[in-house]
Amino acid sequence: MAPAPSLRVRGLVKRFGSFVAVDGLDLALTPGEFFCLLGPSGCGKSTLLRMVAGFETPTEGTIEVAGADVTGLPPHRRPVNMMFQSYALFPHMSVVANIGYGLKGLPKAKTEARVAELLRLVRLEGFQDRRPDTLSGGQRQRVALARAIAREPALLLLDEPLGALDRGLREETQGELRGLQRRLGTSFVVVTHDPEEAMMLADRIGVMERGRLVQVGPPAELYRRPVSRYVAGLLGDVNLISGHLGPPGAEDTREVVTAHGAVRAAANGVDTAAEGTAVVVAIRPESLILGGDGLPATVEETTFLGDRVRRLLHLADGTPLRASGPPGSGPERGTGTTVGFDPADAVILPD
Amino acid sequence: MGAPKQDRIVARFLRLPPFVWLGLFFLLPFLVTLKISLSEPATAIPPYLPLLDWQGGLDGWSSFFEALDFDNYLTLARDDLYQAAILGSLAYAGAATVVLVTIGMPIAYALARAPRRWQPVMVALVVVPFWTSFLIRIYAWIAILKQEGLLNLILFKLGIITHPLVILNTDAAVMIGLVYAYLPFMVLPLYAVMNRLDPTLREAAADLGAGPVRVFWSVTLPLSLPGIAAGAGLCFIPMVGEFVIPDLLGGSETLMLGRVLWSEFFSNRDWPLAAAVAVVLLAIVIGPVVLFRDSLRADGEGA
Repeated sequence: MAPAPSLRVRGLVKRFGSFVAVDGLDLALTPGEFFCLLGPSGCGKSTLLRMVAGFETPTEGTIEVAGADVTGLPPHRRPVNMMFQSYALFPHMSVVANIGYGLKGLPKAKTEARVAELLRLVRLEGFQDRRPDTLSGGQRQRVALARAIAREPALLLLDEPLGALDRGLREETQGELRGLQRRLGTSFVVVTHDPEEAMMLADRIGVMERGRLVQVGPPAELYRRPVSRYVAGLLGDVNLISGHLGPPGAEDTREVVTAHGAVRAAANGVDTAAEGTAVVVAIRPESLILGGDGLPATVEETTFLGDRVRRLLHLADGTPLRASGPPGSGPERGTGTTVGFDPADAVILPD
Repeated sequence: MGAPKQDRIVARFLRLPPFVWLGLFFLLPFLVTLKISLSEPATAIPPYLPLLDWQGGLDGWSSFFEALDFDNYLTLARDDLYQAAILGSLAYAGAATVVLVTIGMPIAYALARAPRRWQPVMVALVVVPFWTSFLIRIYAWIAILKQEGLLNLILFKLGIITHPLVILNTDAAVMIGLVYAYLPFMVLPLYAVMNRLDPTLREAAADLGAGPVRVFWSVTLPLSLPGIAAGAGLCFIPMVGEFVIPDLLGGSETLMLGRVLWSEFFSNRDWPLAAAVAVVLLAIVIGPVVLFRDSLRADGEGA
């Protein structure tokens, strides 16, 4: 039998008065999975995290952690730990006291050994007696992390764990976080509003919009096969060409009739939709092929970026397109060309 | 170009009022009191020997220093009555402060955790008693605590007592009066500090396995210490010199410095001794002020 999911959420709803923060959410994480909840502020991702931690009571639905129902348990009885966005370090306690706070009940020697091990893990040896306000942002972040994993939770929740760090430090810390998660084998749930961060960290990403999970999957799948314009735009630059569905077929791809001609793209769930339905075709800039078979377009601007060239184009009706390709020959600024793409690299999305 | 200099002068002027105020209404009266305390009683009006003869010129000054007289302070140090009064004042104020912290903490905690929109109303309710004169509220306690008073009536009707309790004119009545009168001064600074406590700290503690009791003792209480110190200072200091409450609610055995001062001044007409009591009282009270100054300042910076 497969091990119980580290987190299973069923039919979760949270209402604040008439505002629905989380609107019927189902989710299951495999043990050891690194999961990112991605979405803009106010989409309900933090509320979901707070319900799992026990700080908010769900209006409906159940939460299971490692196979045990924790829906009715107070935070201090849950096998879950959280790293807070503000870190929430106890300002009146030393680094050691902060990290060891959750270890109460262990014999003194065991606590000390565990704290020393954690200090080593987050590279804070020598800082044990410092107060949080004497530490740098990165050091505080590592204390918060050590404190949160001290109890070896079945599930670690991280609310914007890198949000308070500056850019350079953030990239370095992303790698560390990933490495730490692999070593511990603990399931991590990270809440973030930064798509790049989510793609860099996660085994799977769950995109949230208005209290619902609109798509869950590995980063590459979300990037290549988004289910909506919102998800497509969230994970990077995307070109959208509007048109209408052509007749249904048996293939994985389907025809879309645009103002400039017919194209084919991955059906992506619209294979049963009626002919003539308004849709958009979404193609990533690097998937646009210039000069081959395709729709007529004009090159507006070319920008040399060293490892690649970015071109700004537009179709006859003014639809803007971005193309990105290896440096070298290609259409120059002001010239006409054609844009095409491999149908497998483009998806049809509801308009 | 003269503007910055002018601004500096203006700024200096704006800093003056508190000093002028303190000088006129605190320092000057204090110096007068100090002078009287070093004088000798006399059957005259005013009832003490003037020390400094303004007409005497230099001679007047030298005789002033010769006449300086610490007898009153020696009396205070030697006489058991005054020592008992000093210790009594400290004991009453100290005990009342402990009770105030114990009662004030849960009240302030409840206030700070109440829904945001209710907090202004609840804080206003804490302050509402100030709308009635302090003296009248203490008189009201006489009506409540006396033998045929409200409290005894209620307890009797409820069948809890068969004989009226003697509360008025005892230490218990003084404690009740002190705690009642000073509670807002304890609750407000405590609330101010607790209200600013980051609620995620409590959540973090709970998340790390701490039940409500441990969260309180390990996080809420230590982080509220500046508020406790401020409240304790605000209550303890005036309570040491309290006169009205022990006089109206206390019995003849209630020995507090404020009462001694009053009787020396009005009954015995020993102004120099009364003045010496006042100076000693001030000296006792200045200690905690200096002690609490740091915590009060830290409190202000935390805003």
